[in-house]
Amino acid sequence: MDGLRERLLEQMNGTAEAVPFDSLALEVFAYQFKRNAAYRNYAIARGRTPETVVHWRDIPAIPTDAFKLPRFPLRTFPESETVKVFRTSGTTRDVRGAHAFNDLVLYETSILRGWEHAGLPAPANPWFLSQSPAAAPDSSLVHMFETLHHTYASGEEGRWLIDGQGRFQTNRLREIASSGEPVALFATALALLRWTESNPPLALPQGSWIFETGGYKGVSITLDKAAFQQQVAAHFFIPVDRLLNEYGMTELSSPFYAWAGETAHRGSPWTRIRVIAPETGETSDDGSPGYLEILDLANLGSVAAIRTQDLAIARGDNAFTLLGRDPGALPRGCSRRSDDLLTRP
Amino acid sequence: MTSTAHRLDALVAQHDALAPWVGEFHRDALIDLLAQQLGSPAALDDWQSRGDTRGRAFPRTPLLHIVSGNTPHAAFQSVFRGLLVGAHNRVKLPSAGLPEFERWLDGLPAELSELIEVRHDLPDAWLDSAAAVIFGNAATIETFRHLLPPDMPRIEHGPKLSVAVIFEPDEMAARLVAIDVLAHEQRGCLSVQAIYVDGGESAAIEFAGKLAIAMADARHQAPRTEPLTLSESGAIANARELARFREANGDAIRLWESAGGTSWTIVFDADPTLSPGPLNGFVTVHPLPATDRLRDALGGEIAHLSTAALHPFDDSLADRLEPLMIPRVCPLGHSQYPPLFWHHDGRLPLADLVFWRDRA
Repeated sequence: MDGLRERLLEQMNGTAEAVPFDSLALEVFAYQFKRNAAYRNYAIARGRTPETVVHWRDIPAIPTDAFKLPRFPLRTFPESETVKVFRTSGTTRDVRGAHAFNDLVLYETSILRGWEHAGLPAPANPWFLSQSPAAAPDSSLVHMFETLHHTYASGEEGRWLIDGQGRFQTNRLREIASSGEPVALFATALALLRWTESNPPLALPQGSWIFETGGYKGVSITLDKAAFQQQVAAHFFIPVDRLLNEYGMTELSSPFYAWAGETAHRGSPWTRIRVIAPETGETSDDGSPGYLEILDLANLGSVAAIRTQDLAIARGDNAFTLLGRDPGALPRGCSRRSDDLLTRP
Repeated sequence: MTSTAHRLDALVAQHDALAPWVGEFHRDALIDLLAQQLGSPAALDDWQSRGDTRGRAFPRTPLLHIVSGNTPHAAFQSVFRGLLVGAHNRVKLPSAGLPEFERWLDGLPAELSELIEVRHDLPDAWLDSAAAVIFGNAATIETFRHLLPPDMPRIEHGPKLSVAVIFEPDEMAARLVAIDVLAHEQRGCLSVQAIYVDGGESAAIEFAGKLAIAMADARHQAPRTEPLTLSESGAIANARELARFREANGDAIRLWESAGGTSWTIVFDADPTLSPGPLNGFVTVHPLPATDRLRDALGGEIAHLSTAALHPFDDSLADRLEPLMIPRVCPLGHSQYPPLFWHHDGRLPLADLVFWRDRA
């Protein structure tokens, strides 16, 4: 993948002249069509080949459930070259999706350059209400956290606030809060909920902010997003607009972000979104809700075009208003993988 | 309405309105039903000799009915039974309502309507009910286990699914099974979600092709009356794309689908594992495993089976399904229309609604 991979990295890093998205996307599709047999077979069944696809909107998106079928591996490289497999959440009885990588540089570059493109604050003092990468090696979210950790707090260990048995390091977070230094606290929404329900309010230092991701479907909690954000902000004594929501998936490499109160999640320049009317399979009119499909060029080693099980409204080429997880879909998502590892304190 | 005879009169007077939902009935049939399930048609009126004692049945009243929004059948059948045993009925309808049931209530005479209260919420005042009949999915059942007092008897009818088993896979079978699949948009526990065809893979594939014609024809004759929600359409679209992916990659699977929409979908899958589908006209077709392999081949979902619709209907063929221990086997085309006397989910429904006192 070297030539294309290097050019994608140059585009992400801004070290080469910008290439039109369409041409890069079509090149990625042709690359994956050639090397990813399972995806090629599906694309042909949909009547889409590099000869017939002339616009990024026509690149066929793979349903996320296809990542749960290991007999049809969705990768562009031989299994022997695999360096990492991220898995979706699930219990031992559930079938978990697997996203294989032969190279994490694109993934990590997408996280870091995407962070900058989104104009997010550098997390100078990051803490992670999460297990460590050693305890959760197949969690894409934890790897994202580790990438940020390594970049912004390199060499400072012990920033993981859930131990290997899934217990909160309660006193550690209290010490951090009492230090006076503003904190960037990274967590799943579910971890935050469990923390707030089992601990007294904790005032984070002024200037602190919180990164949260994932839902809490499948647990006995009924709380809408706004109420959740109010509850967390009040618990940690931070303004509600200092809560950053991330939309990410194990099957993707690039996240989307929205601060609390913003109406749309925004993606990086190497992503595009489509919203599909499921009854017809056609693109929804602007402003109409439908199923979210994401084209993520950083997913070079697997499939760039992913059909999610989330409902959304398109807000331009790479932004959307998230309406939530399709209630008909089974619980899934990288954050629940993290949550599976979190026992109730 | 203190006597059984009085209640029978009142219900028989509602025959035309009720029969579409509870099944065909007449006065003598109801008397037989009481006799069969309570031992005597007068069990609710007087002390009846029972072995070395005398017993009398009393309704669990007030009787709470928690009704899901899948189909109106559950509401009609449950309240019908409550009225038959003489209970005062408190009916919690889904928040979106249940129009057919509510229209029926609006037209009732006072002697019946005063025995039925309806709400779309669950007021605290109803927590003193003598028993609760609960219809719904797993989450609904679980919710009401927590909401209702622990000592309140609960008769739970949780999520179920039904299948068809075809031994003669002809056009008639295709037309009949389309009825069982499409009635009530497949949302009831008696809706057929999977079809097992005797004769191996080729017979099943051939039948799926016939079924595609029958489904298209049935939808042409009776299109959906309401559009699906995004989630409902999306669940079908996702299942179709996953089937397409598997088929494209060589799995023994084939897809037939309505063009331009999600009106109907058929997936042949050589894997016989039973799993619930996305409903609203989506059905899978499988080869029927050998009798001695049935339980293992269909998998854990058989614990939730309600009905098997059989073609042709014959006891010797029904016996071949015995390893599945299905509560009800019926003729193809009738899965959604259980008889009055059926053992609902394997239980005696009237017997659940009474308690007994003895007088030596």
